[in-house]
Amino acid sequence: MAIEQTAPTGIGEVAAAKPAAPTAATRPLSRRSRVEMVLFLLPAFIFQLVWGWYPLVVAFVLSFTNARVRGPLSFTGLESYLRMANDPLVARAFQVTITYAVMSIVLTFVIPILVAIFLMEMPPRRMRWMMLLWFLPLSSIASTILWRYIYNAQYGLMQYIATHILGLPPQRFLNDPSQVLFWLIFPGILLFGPGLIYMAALQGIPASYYEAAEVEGASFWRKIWTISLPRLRPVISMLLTFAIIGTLQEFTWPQIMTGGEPGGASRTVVMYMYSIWGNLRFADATALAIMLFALIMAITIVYRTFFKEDPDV
Amino acid sequence: MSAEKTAFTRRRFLKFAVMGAGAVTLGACAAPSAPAAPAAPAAPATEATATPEPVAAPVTEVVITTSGWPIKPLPTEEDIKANQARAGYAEALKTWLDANPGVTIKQVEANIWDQQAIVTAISGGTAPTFVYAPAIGGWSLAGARAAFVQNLVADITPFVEKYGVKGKLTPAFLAFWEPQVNVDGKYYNYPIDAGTGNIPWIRRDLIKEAGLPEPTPDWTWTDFRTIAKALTSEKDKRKGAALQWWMVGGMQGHHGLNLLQNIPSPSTGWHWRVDLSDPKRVPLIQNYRAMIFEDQSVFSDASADENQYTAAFAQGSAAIRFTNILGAFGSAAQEGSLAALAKRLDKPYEEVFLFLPPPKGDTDFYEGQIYVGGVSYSPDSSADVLDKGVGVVDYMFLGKGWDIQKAGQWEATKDLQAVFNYPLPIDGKYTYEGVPGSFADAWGKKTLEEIEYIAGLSAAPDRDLYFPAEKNPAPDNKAINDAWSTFTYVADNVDIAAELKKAEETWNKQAESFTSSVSAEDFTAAALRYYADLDNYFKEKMPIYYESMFKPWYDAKVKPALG
Repeated sequence: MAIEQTAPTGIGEVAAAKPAAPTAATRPLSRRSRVEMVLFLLPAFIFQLVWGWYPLVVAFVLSFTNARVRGPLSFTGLESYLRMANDPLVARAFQVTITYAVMSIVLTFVIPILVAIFLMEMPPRRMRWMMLLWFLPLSSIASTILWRYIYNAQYGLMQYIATHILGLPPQRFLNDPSQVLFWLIFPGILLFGPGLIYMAALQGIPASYYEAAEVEGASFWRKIWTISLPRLRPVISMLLTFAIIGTLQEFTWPQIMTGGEPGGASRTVVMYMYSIWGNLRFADATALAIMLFALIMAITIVYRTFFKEDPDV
Repeated sequence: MSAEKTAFTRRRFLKFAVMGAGAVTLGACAAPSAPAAPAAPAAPATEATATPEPVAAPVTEVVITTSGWPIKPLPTEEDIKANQARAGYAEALKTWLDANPGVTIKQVEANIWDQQAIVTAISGGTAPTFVYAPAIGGWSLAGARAAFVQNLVADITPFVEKYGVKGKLTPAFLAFWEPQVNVDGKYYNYPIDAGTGNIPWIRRDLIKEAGLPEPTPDWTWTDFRTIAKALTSEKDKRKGAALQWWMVGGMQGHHGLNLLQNIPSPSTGWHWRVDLSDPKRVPLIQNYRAMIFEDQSVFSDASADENQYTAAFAQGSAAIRFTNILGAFGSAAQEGSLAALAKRLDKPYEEVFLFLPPPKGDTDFYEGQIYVGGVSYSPDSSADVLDKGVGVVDYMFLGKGWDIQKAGQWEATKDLQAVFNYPLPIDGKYTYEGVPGSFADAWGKKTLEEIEYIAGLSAAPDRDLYFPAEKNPAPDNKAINDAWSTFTYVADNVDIAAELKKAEETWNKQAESFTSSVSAEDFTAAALRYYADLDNYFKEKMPIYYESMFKPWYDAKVKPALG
């Protein structure tokens, strides 16, 4: 806790209510410093304005029009929102997206935390090898195409493993609506997701914390629960925010791997939005984008409200 | 120079920061470069001047951008060294460029075959000069025409007249092409080739090896299942057929059911509703699924793309594949071509491959298969770009450039298959100057006869030509396609009738919120004409289908809807 500095009072003096001496943080800035501050912030502000907020505002406005590539625009009110709200495929896409997000966060976000903690327990040399294996810099698109071949239910490697090595009956993999989302997420588990960041954060925890816990007789699990996880909390908080936003906007993997098949079971909201856009329904696509934005914003606000990231709280 | 002057002080840094931010601001806020004025229709040529020989024109700087189709930039010496067959193309294009000084053809990155990608490029003003209207419109004639009236492709009417294409096409191809690409007297497409719909490519040699009778043009889906099962071989790692998900819809179309799927509904905003309740559908789909899941005779997988299906056939791991005829005529030197497979098997092409119309249903219903493919142009193209863009296409496909290319290909390869790769010449030219031979010499007489038979099948009146092109966004077929995909990929316990019902309800619910740009009166008038013509056509050409399917449906569902 920060100690508040106050001016010393002399003997016999009345302890007058004397304002605290201004600190660097509270001291008023000179005009020059203010100008400098504004100038430093300006590029980032303009960048965010042009590439972040401007498209958002334009999309928001377009969603209330009959937006088209060429030709006059006219105001159509909530027509696009109502059309999207009444479209059964939109509801399906939201259901797929939320299921995908939950599964993805559980499987590719939680598991790497545990794996990172276990890796930290390994001898340094072995740990480095394991990290090397996990963190091969693979191109996302290239690996997507590779996985498509691996998953082919008739000729793919996974089918060979399932039937010849594990002795299972032939599997349908991406052809099965109840399995398709899992198999889309599965490579993310193997690629270890945010594990490297967890490991960096774990390495930053002072060894003295663990030593003190060991002196007190804390078990392995107790150390994880009372030291590792609380100290990881700021990192977890940040990565979870990114994970929520990223998975709710998932597009690349399902688009390349299945195109939304079978029967729309892997069609996410962004994929549906993209296909609506392609069908020249620009206002509908932007309305759907705004709906997704609202969902992500709501989830993020709720999560940020209830998740305390300060490990000392 | 003093240290004071050279030091990069905070003040100097701030100055640079201010200048940088200013530049970014100006760049970001500047108006986008003025788009080319919408192709102002140039004054029509005073007379239709067919231009077989390019004539030197006044120098105008024109940049034509291309994704590589249908015109590639001029090949370099290295390109030609790597592939001698390009020498003819290079010579032809160079001749045209010499006659059109100031024109540059520039390669750009663009996927003109992907609807979303090309629409995004058009909306961003980055589409190449050459585009493909059906791709923009969702691979349908109605969509292509709608794209034109929504200004997503350019009006090329003056240049259709200027280059005299109507005098270059055979009467049959002209009669087919013109109504399709003419919307209210304006043209959006310049023809370059002809192909077929998705027809079966079949391994004739394997049928013979299996001791099966060779199927004939009137074969049925029952025959198809028998053949596919017989040609499936665990030992040879071969499936009887490679069928993409949309073939389950195609199969119903071959039975004449797709025509009966759309019911006019002029009283509603969209004027159409979907009806998938025909009881014939369920057993047909059951039979189709039995090929996949019981016979295990079909390769079909949600993870596979178009290329994998094509490769399965070309590598011999599938014996039947449905696709456009145009891809069947790559020369043996081309990796993955059918000719390469025939060469590997050391057999004549016509002994290895058989081309037939799609299998029929249990009536005499069949569908016309011919189409004429053509080029459309980016709506951002200036009149000069359109003029040169149409001119180069005309020269390279329907003019002297075509002959130069073919003679060059022959000189470089002495391979007739490399020269004759278009089975259905829209200008009726079956031979080329300086090339000793013909398509039949290259690919076999039987092959040519099979293709001509398919191309000669008459086509029913096309619905899209009766109704005005749609200016408003339209519902797509995702709901129905989802059902086809489910039937193809999902092995367990699929309730076909329930899935059809769900697809129908979903589509109709979606359609409720769309409004057609066509008035109910115009729609009804067009529908009356269309269905009357359709009635006459089927009565004359397909009496069994007419009596057993079309007429009962027409009387029960269409007539009451149209009053």
